[in-house]
Amino acid sequence: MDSSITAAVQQVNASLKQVGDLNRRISVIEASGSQPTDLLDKRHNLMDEVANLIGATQVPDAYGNVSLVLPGGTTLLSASSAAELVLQADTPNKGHLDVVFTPADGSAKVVLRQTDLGGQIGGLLAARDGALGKASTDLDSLAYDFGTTVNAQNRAGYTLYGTHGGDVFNVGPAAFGAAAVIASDPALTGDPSLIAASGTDTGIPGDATNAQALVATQTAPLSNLLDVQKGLAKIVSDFGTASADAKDAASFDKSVLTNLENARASTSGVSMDDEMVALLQTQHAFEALSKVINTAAALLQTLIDLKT
Amino acid sequence: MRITEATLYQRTLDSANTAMANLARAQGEVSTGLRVQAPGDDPQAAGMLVRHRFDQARTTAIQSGAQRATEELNAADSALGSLGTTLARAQVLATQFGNDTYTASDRAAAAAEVDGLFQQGLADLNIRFGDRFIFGGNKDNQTPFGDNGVYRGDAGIRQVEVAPGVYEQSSVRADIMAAGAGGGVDVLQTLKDLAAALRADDSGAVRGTLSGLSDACNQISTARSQVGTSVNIFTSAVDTCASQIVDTKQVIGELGDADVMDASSRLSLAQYALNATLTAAKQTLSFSLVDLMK
Repeated sequence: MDSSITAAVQQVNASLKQVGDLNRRISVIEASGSQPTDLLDKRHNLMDEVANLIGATQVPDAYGNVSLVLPGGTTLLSASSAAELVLQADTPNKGHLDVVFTPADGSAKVVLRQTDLGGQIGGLLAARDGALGKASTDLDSLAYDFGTTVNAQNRAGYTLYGTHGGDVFNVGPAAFGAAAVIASDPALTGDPSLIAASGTDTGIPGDATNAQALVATQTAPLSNLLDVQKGLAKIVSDFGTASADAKDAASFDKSVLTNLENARASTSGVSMDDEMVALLQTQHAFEALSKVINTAAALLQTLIDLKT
Repeated sequence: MRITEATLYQRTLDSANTAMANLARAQGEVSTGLRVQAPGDDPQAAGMLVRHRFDQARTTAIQSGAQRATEELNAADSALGSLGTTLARAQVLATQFGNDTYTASDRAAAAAEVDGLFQQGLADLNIRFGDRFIFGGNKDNQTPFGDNGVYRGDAGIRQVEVAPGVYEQSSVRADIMAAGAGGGVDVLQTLKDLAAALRADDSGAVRGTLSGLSDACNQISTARSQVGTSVNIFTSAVDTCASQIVDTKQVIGELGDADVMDASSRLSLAQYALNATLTAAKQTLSFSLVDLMK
């Protein structure tokens, strides 16, 4: 997702520069009294692209320039002055990228949040830091809680060597990132005698009381009051619900977008049939006018012939 | 409302994309056989599938443990059966040579046989299953009975899960069964006493071991009865687990697997819909005033 955000931000920056340049050129041409239709079309397409990428809306001014404003109110482009978006890693958010607004006038940079943005970038941030972020955090907590619970139980028991057990899982120092790093301790994997199955250290190898306690950890409530099975099922179900809701929202928004595009095209779009009919009308009108001119010329000639 | 070429083209594209998305989904279901390919396909089913798969793994583990316990107890039962036969023979010898009509040499020969019975009993009680001596309690890494017949195990009882959180005894307390703990008789000592009495040509002492041998037989018989009960419980647990695994697999299939007939039918429908969309698009886009005026 971060790579998609990076590509989208680069595209936004390039488009903003182009729109700013077009604003300047259109102003110059319009000041000379001409209508720069090609440039207007090009600007229109670029602004649509920026809206699609980041949700910026167009704000025209009295001078023919168009500014681009983000949903949170930040001005991306004013006349020909384009701001720049940069990316920076957010360590508390597992190093994921933040979108930072760098004003054209050099004033302080602002980190844009998901609520400040729209379009693809806003959607990617919402997915990454919303449902995905929650699922990731919950998985980390689940992995850390379960791993430390099992480790504590194993440390409470005794191995075949008569020593206290060690860690069964390596989960890292904190919940942050635990789901990505959790793994069986290699020493235990290489020597199953290190499983602290016994509840006593008095040389009774068949004692399995701690093994029974280890088995019981799979149904022991963790910090979220759910056992590991119910916890994982809840994470999967919650993420699935968020995913299904997002699909439904996308489908609904797509229908709204389609209707709006159809309405816009109906008003400003070109219909070949309309243009063909208009062309035929004009052609016939021209032909009729030609007849009139010819008739008038013939009348004049007749009058001249009469006079002479 | 004016319908422009841009509108027509966009509608055509949207319809084709929708038809292809439906086709891709139907193809995915048919090729994978899965109805729930991602949590978003059915969030509730996805969560339940996680739970059921956990349950299936747990049940499989319980079944495996119960099966092993059954096998170990069957080995214990065989050993106890052999020990019972040994004690029965000792009873016959004690009864026979407790009679005053036999000579010293007769009793000496019988003593040699009883020595053999002692060794057989020792072997039966020191039986091993896998890497464990099964009659030593929790001290299962050494022979429970020394060469002199003294018990070296402990009073520990092994337990194996037969259902989540429910445990059943999977071992016999050999200290009670054979070593005389809890007011019983020491089985191997009784055999040694019989051998000594025979070697001493003391018919009265020989007859004196009959009571101990009878108690020993009862102790072994009681232990076998307990083993039989445990075997029945574990066998039942294995069967129950097998049924549960089948039921769980069925539930998992109903929740997550695609109905082959239904998926194939939807695949055919999606293919037909895509074909119809593209055909309609071709006809719509080729119909224009420009073409008619050529």
